Amino acid sequence: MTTLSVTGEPLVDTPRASTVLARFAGNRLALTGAVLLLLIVLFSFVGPLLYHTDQVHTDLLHARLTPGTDGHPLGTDELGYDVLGRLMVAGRTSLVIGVLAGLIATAIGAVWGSLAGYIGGWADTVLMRVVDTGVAIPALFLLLVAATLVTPSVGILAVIIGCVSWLVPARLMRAETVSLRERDYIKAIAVIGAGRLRIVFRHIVPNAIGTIVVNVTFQIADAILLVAYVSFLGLGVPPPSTNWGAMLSKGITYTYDGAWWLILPPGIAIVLVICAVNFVGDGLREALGGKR
Amino acid sequence: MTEPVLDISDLRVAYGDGAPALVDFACTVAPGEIVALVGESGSGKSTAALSVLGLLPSNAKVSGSITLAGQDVLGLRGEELRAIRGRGAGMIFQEPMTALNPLLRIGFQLAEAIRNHDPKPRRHRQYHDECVALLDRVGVPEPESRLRQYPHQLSGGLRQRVMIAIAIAATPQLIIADEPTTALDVTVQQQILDLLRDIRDTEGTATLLITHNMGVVADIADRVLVMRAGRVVEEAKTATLFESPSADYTSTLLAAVPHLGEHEHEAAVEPVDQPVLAMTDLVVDYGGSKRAVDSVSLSVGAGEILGLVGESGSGKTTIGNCALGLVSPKSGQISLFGGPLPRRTGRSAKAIRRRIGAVFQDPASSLDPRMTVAQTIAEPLVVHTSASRRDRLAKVSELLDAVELPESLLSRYGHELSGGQRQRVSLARALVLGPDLLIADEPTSALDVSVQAAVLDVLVNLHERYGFGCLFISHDLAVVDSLCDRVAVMRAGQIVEQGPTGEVLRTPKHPYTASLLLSSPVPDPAQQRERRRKRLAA
Repeated sequence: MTTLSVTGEPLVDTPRASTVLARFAGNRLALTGAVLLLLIVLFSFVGPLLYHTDQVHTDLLHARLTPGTDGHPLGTDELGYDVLGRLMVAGRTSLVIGVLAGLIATAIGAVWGSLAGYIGGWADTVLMRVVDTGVAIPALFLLLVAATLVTPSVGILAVIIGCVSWLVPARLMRAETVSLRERDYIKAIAVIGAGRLRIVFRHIVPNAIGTIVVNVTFQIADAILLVAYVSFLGLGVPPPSTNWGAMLSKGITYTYDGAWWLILPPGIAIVLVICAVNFVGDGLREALGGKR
Repeated sequence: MTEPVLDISDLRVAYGDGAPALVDFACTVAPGEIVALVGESGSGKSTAALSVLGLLPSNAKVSGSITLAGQDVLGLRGEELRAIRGRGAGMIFQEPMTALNPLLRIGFQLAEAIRNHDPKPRRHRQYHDECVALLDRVGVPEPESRLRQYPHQLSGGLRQRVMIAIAIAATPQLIIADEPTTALDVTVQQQILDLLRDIRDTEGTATLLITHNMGVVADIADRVLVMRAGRVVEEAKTATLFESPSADYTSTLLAAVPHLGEHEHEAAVEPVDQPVLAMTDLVVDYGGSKRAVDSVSLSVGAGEILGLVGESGSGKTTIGNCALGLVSPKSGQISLFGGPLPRRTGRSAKAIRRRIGAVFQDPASSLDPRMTVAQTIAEPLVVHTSASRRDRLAKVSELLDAVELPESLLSRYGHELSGGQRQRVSLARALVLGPDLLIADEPTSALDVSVQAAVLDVLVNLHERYGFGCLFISHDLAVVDSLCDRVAVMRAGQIVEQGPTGEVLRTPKHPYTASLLLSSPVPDPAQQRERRRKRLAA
């Protein structure tokens, strides 16, 4: 580019995407996580296109078939739905709600916590007392109240879960900010005359990215489980649509009948997603550069 | 010739699969001799010291031979190794606060050191008399009551004395002192060095002293080993080394050490009519029993460098922070460029901040780890100007050139740079807007001497080029002497003396300034001997 010929060296704004990608790819665990996540997403979203099952009509004649019978590789559940097909459909709901809610919660929490931590004093007291009050009310209770007021759909459920679970990330972010605030480079930027918002969003939040990314992964995991609770109480996304949490809680009823195929598949799916998201989070933190 | 206490030969240490930290290291220490290992950070001097007592981390690969008090240390394991630690050689570390257990009383820790090498161990409290005698030996006042105190109740100097008491508790033949005075103020450093010399003179204990400070070497060492990148580059008697160094590296190292009193100062600087920074009767109170800053008045003229010197806790950093608006004073006035200090935010504050730059001490935390060098230096431009990307780039390049860094560093991150490079980037960031006032808070204290010399050179050149006024905060009199037009000396929150550098540092009027000057070690053994005589006479 001609503008660069002034010095011959490009003025780099952010770490180049290619270097981040290269560093990420060099991390074997992160790469495993990314591949796993991709497979799960494909399984949930592309799977139903290849593996056709009826997930709308119940079929009590073929309820609780053991895996392998009658073209049901993972058997059927108590209403006669094919478990493998159900796992795919349920995955869609869980993944969408989990990711959306995790992002919403972390975004609110990060902004709230970093402002409280950086401005300090009076604003800190007010903002954090709000958080303390929120923590005192169980998230499940808030969720149930919200679920009775509006008809839950996937989108609405994600927003509601996001809005009740930002409290922990806010506390984390405040703690991180308070420690970052005392670093010399923040002082140096402050004495230059940079505004508070610039300091918080340009210097503090990017340096807390490790905390934020790791927290997103936990929030995603939490959200998937929260959806499960709400569904268990009958207030989740209305049937016949379902999610992994709901499958798990229903399956637990049949534990003593030896119907392991109702518990293990959704359980393993949840564990795999959470592991994959965690690996990716770890890898991202390292790949984004800047040793901590 | 008597058998040496410590005899190291062909020592080679490597950590993991990395490059060796120590190669062909050989060193002997005779009874009653003080041998200094000198070098900059990463030269392998601490590795050499730690290997003597088998304290290296488990990933270290060691070969060669180390004979301490007639025993081959490298062959020792378990109980035998434990026996030689403390009895064969005692160790003193750099930071006495972290080397002592904060939860145990001084008396217990001392008794423990004696008990460990007692053939018939008794209960801790039965060592009371020995402990009192030891503390008395190392010059701790009121030893009886000190025994019941915890480490945090002692000052840094007293803690280091306790560490020395622990090191000599088992009457070792050798003391290994790893930067024993680096964390201490100069006056305290002098007392500790005097104590180490006294222990050598009366008990005949040999000492292996690891240090980066040429002044300390000149003061106390009999023989010196100069190290660089894991190798000994020169070994000589102290006097010979300072008089006629044979290795090039030694000459460079010696030349880089700022010398107190060798810098020519022009008579007196003209008093300035319009100071860029003026403080009158400034008081800062953090709520303790003492005021951090107690009615301080000073001014920095346009284009002038004012050195603010003092020991730790004297309030010099607080004054810098007041000027930057990071700390609000309890009373007194601060005026910047003739106007009052603005509040932290607002448009007028921004206009004034534009004219102030700041550099801080710690190179590790002074740069935003998420930003490249180019972004870091351009940040003030982004905040204060609407310059186009291209103009910013041109300005950044100009500054990078001014601090003598290559353009290839523009896209690097802070952690990829060395300490000296980081401080240069900090300087560039502070000066990119062409400020009229620079607040520099110990900008070179964390750097090696040769790096410090280079950074100070850069600072002098920048000052000539941009002509800013500067408040230069430092504890190092020699640095201040070489750099500043005027000096203010602080003690316990007050300025005890201020005036032109030449006057204050040549003919001090206040006794504290005089004692500070006498305590600052000078890298010249003959001069150091003379100063010691003066100090003892005083």
